Amino acid sequence: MKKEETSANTMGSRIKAAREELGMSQSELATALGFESATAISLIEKGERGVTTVLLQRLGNVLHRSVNYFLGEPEKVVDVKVALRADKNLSDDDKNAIPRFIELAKKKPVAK
Amino acid sequence: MRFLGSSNLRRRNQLQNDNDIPDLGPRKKAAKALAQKIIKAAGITVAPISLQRVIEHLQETYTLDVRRIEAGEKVSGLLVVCKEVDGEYATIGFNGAHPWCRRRFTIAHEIGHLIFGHACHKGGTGDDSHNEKEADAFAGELLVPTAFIKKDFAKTPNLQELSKLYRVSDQTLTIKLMDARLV
Repeated sequence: MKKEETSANTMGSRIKAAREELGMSQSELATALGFESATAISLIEKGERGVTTVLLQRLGNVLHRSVNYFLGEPEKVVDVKVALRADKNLSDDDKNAIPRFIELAKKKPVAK
Repeated sequence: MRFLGSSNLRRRNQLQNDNDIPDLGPRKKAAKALAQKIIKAAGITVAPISLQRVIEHLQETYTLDVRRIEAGEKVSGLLVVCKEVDGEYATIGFNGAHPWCRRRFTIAHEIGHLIFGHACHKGGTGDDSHNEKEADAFAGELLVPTAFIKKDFAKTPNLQELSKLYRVSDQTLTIKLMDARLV
């Protein structure tokens, strides 16, 4: 094991951190991913069970993280949610204005 | 900055989903109670309600930015909630071309969506009429608190003057007066 591979820096510990931040139990995560029991999650988080690329993507979806997060790389905005107040029959200009605004909103404001 | 209270929000959302029954009564009541709490916490005691102060109060808890959206007449506004690895931040957009009282209602409405955690992944116009009604109830109470309007209506029983005082549309004020059983 290389030096930087401390317990806080493994993929398993990152999965665990993301799960705990959502207040999810191991068995809840197991159910969300279609595993029979929480044991699989426990093993994955301890690094005793491998994670396939497909599973990694599904983990990203369930835990609202980018795959980069699990790999320990800097993560950009991972999740954008929107509530829009507008009429139904928007013009194309209006429809374009909304994603433009969302892109603006994605740039993090300076902390106040 | 951390998105404080996010776990509480999440818990409340779960509760709301579990109780997703057609009757909006309890949710409307809760929305109004929350608006009253915010006004009190922001230290606002008289009309007009300063949205600036409401926003500054919320910024103690949320990373929140409010800005204009350049769009046509049909877009009132929107709420964008971005999640990052180390927190969440929200931006409210309002149509700067709309009349002042309408902009105020839009901002108040979007604050409601933020607090109730209504933002979702579907980009389209909000079709969840429950969420919309809840945000409207919140906005109505935030801009025209029942306790305030009862006092002011007793002093000045005049729709136009009151809507001017509260910086809301005649429509918003009429709904409020009916809701408070003053007319």
